[in-house]
Formats: sequence, structure tokens, C-alpha cells
Amino acid sequence: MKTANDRGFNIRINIGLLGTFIYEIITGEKVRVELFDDDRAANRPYWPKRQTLPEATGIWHGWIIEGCRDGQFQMAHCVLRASGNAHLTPLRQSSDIRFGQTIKDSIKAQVSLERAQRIFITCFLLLFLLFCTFLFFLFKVTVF
Amino acid sequence: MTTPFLDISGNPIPHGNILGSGSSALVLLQGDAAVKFPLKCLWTDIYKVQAHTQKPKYEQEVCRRLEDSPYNSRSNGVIRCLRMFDDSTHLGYMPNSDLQSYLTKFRPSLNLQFSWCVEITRTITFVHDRCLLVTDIASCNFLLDSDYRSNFVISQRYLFFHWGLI
Repeated sequence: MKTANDRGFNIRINIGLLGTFIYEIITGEKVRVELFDDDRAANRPYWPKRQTLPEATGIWHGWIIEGCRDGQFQMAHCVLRASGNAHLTPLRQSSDIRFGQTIKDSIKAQVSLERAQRIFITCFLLLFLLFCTFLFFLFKVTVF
Repeated sequence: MTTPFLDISGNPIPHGNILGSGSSALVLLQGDAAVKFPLKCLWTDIYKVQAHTQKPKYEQEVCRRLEDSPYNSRSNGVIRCLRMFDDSTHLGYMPNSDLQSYLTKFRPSLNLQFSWCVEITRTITFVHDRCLLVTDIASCNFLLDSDYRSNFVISQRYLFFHWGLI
């Protein structure tokens, strides 16, 4: 049986790989992680230096990706809990969503304003018509 | 049209049945199952064939470790192992290829991205809880089922560990 200890793999590397994979899902960009390029020991995997990985700040789930890579999450359970909460705060999309929402709200406001104007004009015309009819009958009664 | 690959009894395998091949295994579609055989070609020598036939045993050990207990069903994110034989493993068939091919062709919606992130993290959590590590967490190792849910493949890339030692 092959064991993790024999080969130098550990939870830290696994969570780092998970972070890189999340990065790929979010950005669509494939990242190649070289675990065996470190000078510390030959044929033993080490999590690569920060500079060799692409920047993840400012993207959705960015802080989770960074946390996975920097070793801030000790267990996959912590990543899972963080991922569950991250749905509420999409970073990259937030400005787009807010912009869309503003347009939607302004259209709604515009539509409601137009509707109010239309109702007001209709009411005004109806009242005017009613007033004219009243005047007509009044005139008819006084003349004849 | 036949291929250079041979089945267990030494007969050539038709081209249409092959789902994929690796360095040591061949995956064929048989009914509703993807059957994983040790790789055997016309030119493969007997020692290599013997080495390849040892590998399904290791993968079956991993399958057993990842099996559900009657009280939980957390193994949903791992490809289901239907049957195990000495020389082959029958796995659930995933019709929508792998996640890597999907991501190169399409841009998934925000909801799909989120559900994949959570599903995959949940699967890794489950794998760790069963005292296994995966040496290659990559998009090519996640296959998509008919509902586009990601399923982790069972391969040689799993390592056993004990929580106290790592």
C-alpha cells in the first residue's frame, strides 16, 4: 500500500492544489503547479513559492484561493465552510450586478413615472369631459 | 475497425468501445458501465502486463475505502464503483467528459461555478476523512455526469495516510 508519508505528500499540498483548482473553475485559466521543482529535497513534493502562482486577489473566491495556497486553511472542512459563505459576496461580479441592478431600478422608476403621467392625463381628460358635459347640460337647462 | 489494444482473453478491441486509455489501464463502455481493464497491447511484454494487472487491486482498495456507510451518502462526488473483479473494475459511466474539456470549450454560469467549487471541496473533505490524499487534484480528474455534477475519478493517484502521522 502506498502511503502519503512515503512520498512526502501532505494535507497542506492537497489544500493548495484544491485552491489552484478553484482558481481554474473561476477564471477558466489552467495553472500548472510544479511540486517537484523545489531545491530543498529531490523527489519530494513541496508547495511552490508564492511568486510562481498567478495572482488571485480581486476575483470571486480570491481570498479562499489565496488562503488555500498560503496555508491559512488547515483542513478541507475549513475551505468548505468558507466556500459556502463566499456565495453571498461575489467580488468580481458585484460591480456588474450592482450596475445591472441600477439600470433595472432606473427603468422601473422610468416605467412607473410614465405610468403615473399617463394615469394623470387620463384622469384629467375624464374630469374635463365630465365638466364639459355638466356645462352643456347647465347651458341647455338655462336656455330652454 | 480494431485497435492495437487487447482484452483479457487476448482478443482485439473494436475502436468504438474505448472511452479512454492511460499508461496502465484502458476504459471501455459496456452497457451502462465504464469498465477499467489493465492495459494490454499487441507489443506489451509479459512483465508489463503483470505489473498492470496489479493496479486494479490498489484502486479497488481505494474504492472500498470510499464506499458509503449505510448512514451517510457523502461519496456522491466520487465515481461510483458498481462491481469489482480480479482483473477489472466496473465504474459508473459519465457521459459529459471531463471538467477540463468543458472549461476549455464553455464558460460556466456563476451558479455552476459555485456548485462545482462546493461539490469538489466537499469531495476532498470526504476523501481526507477516509484517510486518503490525492496527489493530482486537477480538472482532468473530475468527470461530469448527465446533470453536470462533478465526480472524482478513482485512480492510482490516491495515497493512504494516518491522521497522527501527517
